[in-house]
Amino acid sequence: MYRYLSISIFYIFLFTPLVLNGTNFSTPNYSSIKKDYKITLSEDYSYEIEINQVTTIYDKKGLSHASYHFIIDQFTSLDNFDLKVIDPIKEKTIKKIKAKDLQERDLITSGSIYQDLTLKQFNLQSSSFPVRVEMKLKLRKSGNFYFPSWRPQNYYHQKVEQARLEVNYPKSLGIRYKTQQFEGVFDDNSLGDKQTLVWTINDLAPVPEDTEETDLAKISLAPEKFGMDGFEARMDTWKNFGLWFYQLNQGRTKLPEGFKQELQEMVKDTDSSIEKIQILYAYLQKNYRYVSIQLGLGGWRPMESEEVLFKKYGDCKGLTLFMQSMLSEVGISSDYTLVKAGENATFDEDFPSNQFNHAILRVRAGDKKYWLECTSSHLPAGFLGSFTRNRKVLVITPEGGEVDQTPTYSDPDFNTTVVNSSILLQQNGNAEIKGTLLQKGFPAETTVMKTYDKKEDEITNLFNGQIGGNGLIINALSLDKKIEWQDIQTQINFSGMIQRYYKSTGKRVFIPISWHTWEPNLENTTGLYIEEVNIKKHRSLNAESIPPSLSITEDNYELKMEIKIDDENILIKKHIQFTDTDRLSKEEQGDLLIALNKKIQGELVFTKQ
Amino acid sequence: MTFSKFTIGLLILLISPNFIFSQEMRFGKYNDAEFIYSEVEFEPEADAVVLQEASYNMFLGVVLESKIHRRIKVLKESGKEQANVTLKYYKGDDRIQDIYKIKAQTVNFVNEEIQIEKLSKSDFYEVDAGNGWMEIRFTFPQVQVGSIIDFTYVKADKSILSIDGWVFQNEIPTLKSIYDITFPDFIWYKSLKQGIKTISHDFKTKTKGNFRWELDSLKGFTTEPYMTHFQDYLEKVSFQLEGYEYRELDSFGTDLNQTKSLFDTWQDLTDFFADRLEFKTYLTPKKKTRQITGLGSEGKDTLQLAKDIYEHVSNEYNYSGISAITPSKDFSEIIESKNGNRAEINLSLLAHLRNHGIIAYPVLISSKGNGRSNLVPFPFVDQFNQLIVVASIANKVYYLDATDSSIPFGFLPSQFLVNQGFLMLEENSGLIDIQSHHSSGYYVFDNILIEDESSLKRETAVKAMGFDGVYNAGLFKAENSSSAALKEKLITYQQENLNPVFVFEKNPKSNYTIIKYTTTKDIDESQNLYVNPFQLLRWEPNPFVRSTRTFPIDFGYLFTDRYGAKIEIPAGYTLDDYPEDVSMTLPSGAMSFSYKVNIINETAIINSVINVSNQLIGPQEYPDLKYLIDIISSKFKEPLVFVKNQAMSPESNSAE
Repeated sequence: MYRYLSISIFYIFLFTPLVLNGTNFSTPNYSSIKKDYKITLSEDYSYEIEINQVTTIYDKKGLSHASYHFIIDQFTSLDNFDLKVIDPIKEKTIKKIKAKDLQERDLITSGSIYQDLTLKQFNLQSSSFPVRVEMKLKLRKSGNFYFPSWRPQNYYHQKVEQARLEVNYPKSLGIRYKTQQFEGVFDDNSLGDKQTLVWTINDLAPVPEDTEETDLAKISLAPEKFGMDGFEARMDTWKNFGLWFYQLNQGRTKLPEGFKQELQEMVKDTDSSIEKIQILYAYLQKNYRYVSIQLGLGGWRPMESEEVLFKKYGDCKGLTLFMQSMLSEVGISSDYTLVKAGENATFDEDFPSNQFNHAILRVRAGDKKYWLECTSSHLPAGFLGSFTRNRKVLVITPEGGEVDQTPTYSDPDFNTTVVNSSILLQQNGNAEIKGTLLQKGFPAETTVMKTYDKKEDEITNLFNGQIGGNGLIINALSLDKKIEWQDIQTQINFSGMIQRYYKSTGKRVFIPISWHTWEPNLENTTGLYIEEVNIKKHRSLNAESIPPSLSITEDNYELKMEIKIDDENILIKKHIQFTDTDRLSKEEQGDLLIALNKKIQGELVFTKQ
Repeated sequence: MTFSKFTIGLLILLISPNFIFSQEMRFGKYNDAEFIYSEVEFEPEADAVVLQEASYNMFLGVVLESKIHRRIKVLKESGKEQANVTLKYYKGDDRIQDIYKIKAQTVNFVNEEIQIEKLSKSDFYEVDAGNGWMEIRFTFPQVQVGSIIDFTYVKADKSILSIDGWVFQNEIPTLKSIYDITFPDFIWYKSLKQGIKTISHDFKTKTKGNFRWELDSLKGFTTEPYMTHFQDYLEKVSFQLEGYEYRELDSFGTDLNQTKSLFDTWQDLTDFFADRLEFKTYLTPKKKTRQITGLGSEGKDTLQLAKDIYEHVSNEYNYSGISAITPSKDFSEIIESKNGNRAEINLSLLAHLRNHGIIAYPVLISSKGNGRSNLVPFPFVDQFNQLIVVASIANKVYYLDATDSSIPFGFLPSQFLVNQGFLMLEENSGLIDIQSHHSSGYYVFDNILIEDESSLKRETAVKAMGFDGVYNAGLFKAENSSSAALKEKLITYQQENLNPVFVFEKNPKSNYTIIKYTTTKDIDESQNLYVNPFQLLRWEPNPFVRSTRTFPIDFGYLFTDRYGAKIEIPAGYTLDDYPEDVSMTLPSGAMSFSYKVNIINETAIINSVINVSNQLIGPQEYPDLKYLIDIISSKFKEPLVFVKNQAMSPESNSAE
């Protein structure tokens, strides 16, 4: 399995993502806010964030709107924190909070062993409303690799009375910005070598939770020139941004001579680049494990390859760089690559900035390129899996950053499920079943991941959940895997019994057209589902009502279903081809499945003689 | 880090692992059998195994020092996860617990050589986990399949009123787990044991004050659906201070040896709490706190008054999310802030009730997942983790928890539905049975008829009662009328749902919700009609897909579901066929199911009852339970068949 990386741990606030300039006044208003947010960048690349914020809470549900969280790391210090809780009716100060009064604990993200992050927080407790919270804050960052995004509203159900962002910077360093759905006033002033940008907006109505992120007002900032921990570079182009990462990785790929000889020994029997990649990838998967320890600049800078070799672990950056080092040793060129992994990954190509959370490797062999996910212990070499497929990435080359695209895997062979089963009806409503479930590509990836080193009974349970669920009891099961270059397939061979497979009344038998649950993968450009069920029936059953065969073409799928019956056999064939379902929203995918399921539900009705 | 190599002699392949593992391990000393070991006999597919773990405990004055040693072997790739270790301890403000002297190393056996990789000081990370909790985190290097990871540390604990003791089981199987404790002469404890192996083990030794558990072959634990929590079933032992000896001088200067017993009786335990200053302020609130609710009691009956008070506290007081059995703030502070932990909120409720003359007492319980499947019948404080309130009104008993305003008066959160609790009275405190008198379940009635000869109309009324009403309150409400989740729950899959209008009637007094809705479906008059009488409202999809079961099935509460349908046989049709009657009961009687069809005149009446009369069903009855639920699920899908009186087409179908 592969893991996230914490390249981007540099967030200042954990504010709930929020809000927008909608005008839906029917949305309940739990709080209102006035805030002044000021960023001042210095010549030495350090910058200061000053926040002056007044939040009035009207409802218990808005208590969290006056909660504040700050993450302090090696590059961040909290210079000042001053907060007052005020009864606005009596204008009486109820409580004062200073920096020393903030609750504090270390912050370790899921999957990490350690990160040098400390969370400081204030949580408002109040039983009477309205209550007003006035906060003044000053944070200092020692480098400008990252600026936090700014939003007028901090929360849903929050009204903005006034929100103001001021950014001051030396012209020699520069700052770029990008606005989203911002309909307020913008002003820029220049005085000598200083530049000031100001955004102001008044009277924003509260918005509900279901507001899309893209409908929320937001201002993103990124440096033109930046410095971090002694490293300086430009971020105005992807090329320059990539150069900084290249600079960070420089000198970290050394391997000991003894190990170099081991590598040569491993690949000595082949001249094929693909075979060499496979050998070294398999070696990496077998001997090295994903471990995340992020200290200081380590959020972006990989462990040295020698250390990975020695410890036999590393995070995605470390394992990727280590793989690059090994490939280089056997004469294969590859490039360290940054990616935003996971679902719904966005990439703003026009706004060079740190948008990444994971590292992978691009391998060049002749005029071809291949991709390696170096934290996975189960994927075939040359196949990225669903975590990083089909998206823009930043490849780090000696010449700088280069935007590239990971494979779409649009061939149906990367998303195919074939179910074949033979069913023998028994007298009591049960049925004996024997069959196979063949999966190719992404469905197989899921099965391999879920069954990774699992016990047989857990695989049985998984299978029951995946395809059974309605009375299936597996007596025997085997899982065959084929994991080869760019190819992943699984086949589950099973036999057992389906309890209450068919329904029976006094005179009739009802056999389902579809008895098992299924969840096709709709996150791919194409997909194929084929099912063939052969049911042995008793001669004494006479067909009374048989659904007609189907051949339907809809926007995102083609369905063919055929039912054939003779004296002793019922054959049900389904063939479903999906196209472009990855472009649908989750809701549309859900609706598609419901509509499709309705078409393949129903029963074959037989009368008993 | 240092790198050491040792050569071991000829492997003694024939030595039985059982023999080898019967020896106690020492850090840094390894035997051949440990390197050979590759499969757990009682869990052959385990990916890692605890070869041995031990906790040796001694008192240094009034500090308990535990020397803990754990040795794990990685058997498969996925077992490498075991190499990431987190040790938790509670530091508090006064270093209540501490961990030190940590040693850890990876041991590999390669080419008949032992290779040891030690962790250095910089490999251990100390993490402040908040609220006084600390963690030591570390990961082992050079971990491969076959590696042994070995670590030891010392834990000091100043909090000796209760001793955490030892859990003998792990996520992975454990070959041997040892807990050894020596109590000094001047201090004595009661032990609390859970699990068959722990309870049946002869823990006494020849050494005075020394007790020792040495358990073998312990299975790894996993969760299953409809179970409370695996922690409630683990093999474990813990301790509570029972008494101690102390010295004082009498008026003549004579040195007297005195003993002090703690918690001899349940009343002692109550007094221990009730004497604490903060606790007292709730039990006997001062005058100035009497008018706090601002609720008038004039003209109200006692039950209504109690409900008003409950509503006031659950709405106005903000629960901090911290479970506790004792308050850390007194009542006046809580009135002021209206924020508190569970004990503070519920004791505030108690104080309000008492102020209005309503009899109310605190009750301590061990909620599900707290690690106690059954309470022990002696005053062991550590078994409890939640404080709730019991009120007696007009000879009826109500159990209350005011931390969640969505749960109505007289109901408890699902994790609190336990069988016993500790009632804290002024006198004669003790354990009581907690019985729920709620009638829970669904009543469903369908009236199905053909309208205008072309439309099948279904009028449905669902009444969700008791806990089924309470726990579905978030779903059964008008705001969800168009939600897919509501339709999925209520509408049969085959039904063609034509945007039913849901009408919700909520009865706050009886705490039930009635949902009424009508659906229609066009029918083809020339075809037969297949009609399912009703939709099964629970276990869809069937949660019991596993073929075997280790832990009991916990339904949480008792319930009876009653389904009824009336179908008028439409003109021009004959009821040709319908589901056969069924009546089944689990061998233990814990669950029963019946399904019956009656034809009266031109109407088919279908009735079905599902009754769960035991909240807990043992794992041995799991196959029968699974089968019964399969039958229920299947029966609910069987249709009634109405045949058109005229000639039929064999290719026709209009299954609803």
